[in-house]
Amino acid sequence: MTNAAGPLVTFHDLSVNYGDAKALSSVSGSFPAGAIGLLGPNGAGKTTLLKTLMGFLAPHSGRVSAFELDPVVNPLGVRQRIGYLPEGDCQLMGFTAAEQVAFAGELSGMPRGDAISRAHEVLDYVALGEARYRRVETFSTGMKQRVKLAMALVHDPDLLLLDEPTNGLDPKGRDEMLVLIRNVAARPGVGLVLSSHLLHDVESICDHVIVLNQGHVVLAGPLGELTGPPRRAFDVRVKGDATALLTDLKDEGCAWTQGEDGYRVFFAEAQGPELLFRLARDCGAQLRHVRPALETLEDVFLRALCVTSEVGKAT
Amino acid sequence: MPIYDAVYRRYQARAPLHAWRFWPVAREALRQVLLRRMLILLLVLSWLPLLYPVGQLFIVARMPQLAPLLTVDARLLGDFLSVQTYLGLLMLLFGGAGLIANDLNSGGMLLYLSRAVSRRDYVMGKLAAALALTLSVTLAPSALLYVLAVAFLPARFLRWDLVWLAPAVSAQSLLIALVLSVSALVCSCLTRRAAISGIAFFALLMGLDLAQALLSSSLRLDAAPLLSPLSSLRIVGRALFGPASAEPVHWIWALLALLLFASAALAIVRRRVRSVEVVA
Repeated sequence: MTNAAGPLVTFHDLSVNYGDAKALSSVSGSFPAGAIGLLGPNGAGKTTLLKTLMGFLAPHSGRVSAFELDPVVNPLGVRQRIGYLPEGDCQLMGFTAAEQVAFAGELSGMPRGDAISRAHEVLDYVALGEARYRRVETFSTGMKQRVKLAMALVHDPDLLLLDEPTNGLDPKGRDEMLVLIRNVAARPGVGLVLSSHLLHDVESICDHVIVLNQGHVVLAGPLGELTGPPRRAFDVRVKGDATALLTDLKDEGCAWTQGEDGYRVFFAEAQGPELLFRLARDCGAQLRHVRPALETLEDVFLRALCVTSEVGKAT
Repeated sequence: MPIYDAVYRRYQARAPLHAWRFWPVAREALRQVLLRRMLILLLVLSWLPLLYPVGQLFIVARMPQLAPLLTVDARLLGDFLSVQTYLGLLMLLFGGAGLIANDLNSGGMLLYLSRAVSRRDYVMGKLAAALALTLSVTLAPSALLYVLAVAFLPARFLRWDLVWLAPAVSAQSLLIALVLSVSALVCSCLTRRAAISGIAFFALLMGLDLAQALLSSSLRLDAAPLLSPLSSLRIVGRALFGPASAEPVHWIWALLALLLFASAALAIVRRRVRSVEVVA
């Protein structure tokens, strides 16, 4: 079963190409047990990373290992321990929900009897009552998402890969789905990778995030560290021309973004607001407002993707 | 709300993967096909042609004086299998067209391929379902016909020089089933709509047969029959069961053409499934 001590998945110097196009470029990292958010704009390489992990794509260079297995050598062994919830429709024509979930279990190597009883167990878990005896193609979007989650869970995977699990759900359905996912993620030894554009979903479930952009990992780490501590980001308002202060901040290695009524300054490691006060005094700028900013995941995400270009544009 | 607290419980009985992973794929594909009443009706109707050779056997057994008027020898089985080839085609037209197309349409293929099922398992499972459908109208009734022939006329059919007949019936039935099944699968994997797949399947086999007939008659091309799988099946059938006639091509070439056709079709299916795996 799961190695609780080490990460479930590791990838080192991983590059994946589609013909001449590089989808992943020397990506390194790991998925520890717990909930991990996989973020990035379209084309960042999230799906490519998941497909490589499942053994659908062979790496051009580097290596990937899941549960200490190589997906290139033993894709079925890896897939047996992974539960995948795809973004798009994934159903079999003419199957009821109970049949489809049991069948999914059987395809994952479960004996038929076990698969049937386990299917009903996970359908209870996702709160699909008598509807489980109806054909899946007659279901609403929310019910289809529940069936997909049940299919991902039926064989009790060590790692769940959820691709946009709240897609198309109304607010109530979304909250219910997030509760279910949070519940699974809380179980010891179960890993969960949530690939989503909805940062709020990721923030409410995950304790680690990996941000990909253009085939590179641009940010990775525990969510608590990335969104805090508050010393690292400050909302600042300056009276008069702030150009000199902002230039000095940049020279000191700080990043900043312009907000509606001021600036958000991001200090580097071992820096703090003392630097801001010193620079303001040196260049004669008058600070009207300095307050620790509580960074949301959205701030972290946007900073990781955009801060360089924002700084470039502003200067 | 359920009256109990739904909690996620772990399942601790993971078993090693077995070699027959294609079996659930085949079983469920067949089950879905046979849920359609039309297919059951077609299956029953496909056995009706059996009445004609059985009637012949019965008449010859009861009234030996009529034997010279009726052809009751190995050709009886060959002719019966020729008829059943077209009924097998009909079975797959309605039952095999959606085998892969429906999975492509509903995203079901991702359900298979994201599990502990390889592309080969998936293709084997679908092929097994198509083979089962075809064999149910070729091998099953022709085997019954052979048993009845031996039962009615043991003096004619239970002879050392006809010991090859039972294996020949099995081999020809399997060859017919294989060629029809891979044709149905290759058409099914190239479209997301079962109806279009069915039309393409029918057009492929009948179109090639028509083309070979035109080429044979107009250009007098000896190799033209190899163009059509149905025509090649007829050549192999005549070589096995008679009547002995001067064929434009040797039956070995026909057999090789059929095996080449089946291999190419399977390669296309595997390649198409692979592209879905990567792109979906």
